[in-house]
Amino acid sequence: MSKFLCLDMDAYFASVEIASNPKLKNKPVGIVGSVDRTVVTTASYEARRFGVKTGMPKFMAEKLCPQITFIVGNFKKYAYISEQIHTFLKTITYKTEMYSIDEAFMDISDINMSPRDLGYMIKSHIKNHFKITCTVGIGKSKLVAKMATEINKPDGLNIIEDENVYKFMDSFKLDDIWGIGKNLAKRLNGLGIFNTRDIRKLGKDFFINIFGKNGEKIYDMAFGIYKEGVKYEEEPVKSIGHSLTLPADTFDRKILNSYILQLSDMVSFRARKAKVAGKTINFHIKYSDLTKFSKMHTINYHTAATHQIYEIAKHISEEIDITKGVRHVGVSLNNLIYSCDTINDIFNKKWENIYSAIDNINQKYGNLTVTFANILNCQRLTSNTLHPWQKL
Amino acid sequence: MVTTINGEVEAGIVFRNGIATPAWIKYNNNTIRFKKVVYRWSEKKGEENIIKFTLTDSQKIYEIAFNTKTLKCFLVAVDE
Repeated sequence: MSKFLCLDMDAYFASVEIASNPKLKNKPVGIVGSVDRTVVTTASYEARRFGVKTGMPKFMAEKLCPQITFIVGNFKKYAYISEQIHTFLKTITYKTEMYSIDEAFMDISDINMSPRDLGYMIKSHIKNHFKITCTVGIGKSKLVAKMATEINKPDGLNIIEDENVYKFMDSFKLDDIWGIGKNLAKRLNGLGIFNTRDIRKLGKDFFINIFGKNGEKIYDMAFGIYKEGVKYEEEPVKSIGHSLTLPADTFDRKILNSYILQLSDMVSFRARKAKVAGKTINFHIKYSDLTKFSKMHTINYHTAATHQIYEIAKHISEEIDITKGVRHVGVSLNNLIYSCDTINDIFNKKWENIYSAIDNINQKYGNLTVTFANILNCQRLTSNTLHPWQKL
Repeated sequence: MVTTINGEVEAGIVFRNGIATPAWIKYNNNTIRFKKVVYRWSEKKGEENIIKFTLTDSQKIYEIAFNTKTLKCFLVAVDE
């Protein structure tokens, strides 16, 4: 019988900061990307009680909770602790998947220990060594285990026995279920389906006819079935991207271009480090009024060169209405090929040598030690931290 | 209140079982003796490995950075 465990760290970034500084204990804390204008990346449970949520602009969080302490996140610290936790979990079973910086899945089917004891053992190790709490969910599939981490937070341990799976799944609204987004839930609601009980009443064919391949997955989910196992072998990255919120809305293309260059340089540096190159460049922005613009462009060769990624992103950016003001900007490289020894095949040797020299210096002395002079126009430099699940 | 310092300091570091732990630092003509390591993590800067700590002398919280390549120690910040 298969058994899966999902571990979800409680308010991870905030918890690590509170563990690092006990003076923050029991206080509302918000982790932000920078000192100036930005959004809350994680809020402590004390801050959540005032309505502060992830993704909320800093000024709004301050309005809801004037006594909140903001801390600029140290993503290298969070990545390090996450890696340490991953290393510990791998001592229990190699079938461990670090799903994100603060979530992990384990296939515990072969472990000769009761799920409850195992759950408590993991929780107590994390509490003792890292001084943070986590919620553990255990169930017959990754889906049930993941949903079991959504209740009794923080510091919960929830085991869903097989005979209780239907009742458990039925207790969630469709858009709260992992893998069913708001849009899909809306479509299902439009068909008169509001929970997993309604799904089970209809046949599998009904869902396949409407949703195609995804229909089978939706139908299975109502039974707590999730065919995907734990991905414990590293999978190649599918895209490399960076984005940032500007310190102030910009109406100036020159300033915007400097940020596009910075992001292109970060993307290409990571691509070259991982020996990957991509054909599709995605450029996206958020205007001052929070409306979005996103467009991708595919070229007929693969590249990992900053100046080429920049040129394409900049070209796309010419379509935007700069008079509306730009708040957030992002660049990503997709459609990747792997094991590239040179940055692209139409490259001349001169550029290849320049990038090689820049990369060697930055690898030795740290990111952005040598970069393009135009980047000096940027008032904010984003973190170049690689998260542990993005091993490049 | 957190005060950012980011200054190099003279430090006494104890190495035990391959683990480095700051025991004291000299700052503003005072020797601060640490009572407890609150948190410990590691960061990379290029090829350099920097071990970071938060420590307490029972009153204040200090963030210390120890560069394992240059063997320099920095007082990053103090929370009074």
